[in-house]
Amino acid sequence: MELKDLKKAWASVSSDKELDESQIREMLSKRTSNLIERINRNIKIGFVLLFLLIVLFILDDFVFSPQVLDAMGNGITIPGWLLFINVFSYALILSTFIYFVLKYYRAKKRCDVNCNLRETLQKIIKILLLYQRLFYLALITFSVAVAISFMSGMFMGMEASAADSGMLVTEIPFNQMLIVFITGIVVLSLLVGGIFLFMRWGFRKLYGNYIQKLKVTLTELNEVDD
Amino acid sequence: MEKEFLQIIQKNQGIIHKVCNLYCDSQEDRSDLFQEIVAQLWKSFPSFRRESKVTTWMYRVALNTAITSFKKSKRRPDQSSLTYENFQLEDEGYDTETEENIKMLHAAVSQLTGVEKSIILLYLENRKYEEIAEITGITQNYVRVKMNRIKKKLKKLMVNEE
Repeated sequence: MELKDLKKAWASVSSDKELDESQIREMLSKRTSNLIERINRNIKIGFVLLFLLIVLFILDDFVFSPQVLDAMGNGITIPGWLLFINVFSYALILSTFIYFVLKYYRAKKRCDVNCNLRETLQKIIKILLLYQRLFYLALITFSVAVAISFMSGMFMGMEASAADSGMLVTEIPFNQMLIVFITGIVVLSLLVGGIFLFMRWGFRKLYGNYIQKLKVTLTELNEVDD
Repeated sequence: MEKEFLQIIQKNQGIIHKVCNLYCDSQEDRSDLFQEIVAQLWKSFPSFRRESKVTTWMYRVALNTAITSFKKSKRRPDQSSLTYENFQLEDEGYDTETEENIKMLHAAVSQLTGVEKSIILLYLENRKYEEIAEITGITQNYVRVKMNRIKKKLKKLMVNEE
């Protein structure tokens, strides 16, 4: 077939069975499967969940845990420095999340589906990279929070145990402290490292190829135009 | 507004069908993409200011949606598995030569990239280079360059098929 016959061959191709108005109307009521819409929903849900979690943690630090410790009656209180770290980290998490969300919505407003292909690709890639950064930030923050809580819990446990034996923490034999410390580090590394690696693998598996595909397509569009 | 939109889509749904046939392997994927394109057209309809033709707008949204569609990784068939049924012949009176040409066309087109498919689709639909440039966001000069490359590639692919 010569190239000039391409159009003739194309013209012979029929389209699928046409849909009527009611079938098309039905489609309008269905939820879109578009990735950006799904990311939008995830971010909104994530924001609400994050806010609720932070409220819960604050209540835990200032209301529930002190009540439980009071009920135990052994005079242990949550140290002030720990409360400070907790409140500081909540504020940091919330403000960083808000910062990224604002950047995300600014990128989203750049153009809608009426844009040409190149602009659409640029926008989607930017949004996905921002979302990726937000995801890793949340993951790192979670890991650090778990690590700090774990270590401080371990320290307080050791302190309480030493107090029960009528000792100060500084009087615990060095090799015992070392064993507890190393065990703690190993458990923490496995726990936090495992979660981190698993979530990172999951994200890359889900979106990694897609981001790469979009970048390749954009490169092709930019090729000769430069 | 909904009534007007539905009339436009019904009148021009051939555009959406052709884009779906070109970019999807299976009937299931074509149905999903068709629905997604309609949803995106509906979403962008309020901001469509008629500065371009209705068909230009539809091609733009449909191709954007098709090229940027995200499918969860399942075992995906490779590009060459666009089946012959994607390119159906009209029922009345076709000859063997036309059928052979259709087969060669689908085999060749299936090996093009997403961008190349969009450009060749618009070319085969008799869109001017100016319109193709507007839809894809590249210059008219690059459309000409790209079109020449695609033609050479198709020629090579069709010779191999023969």
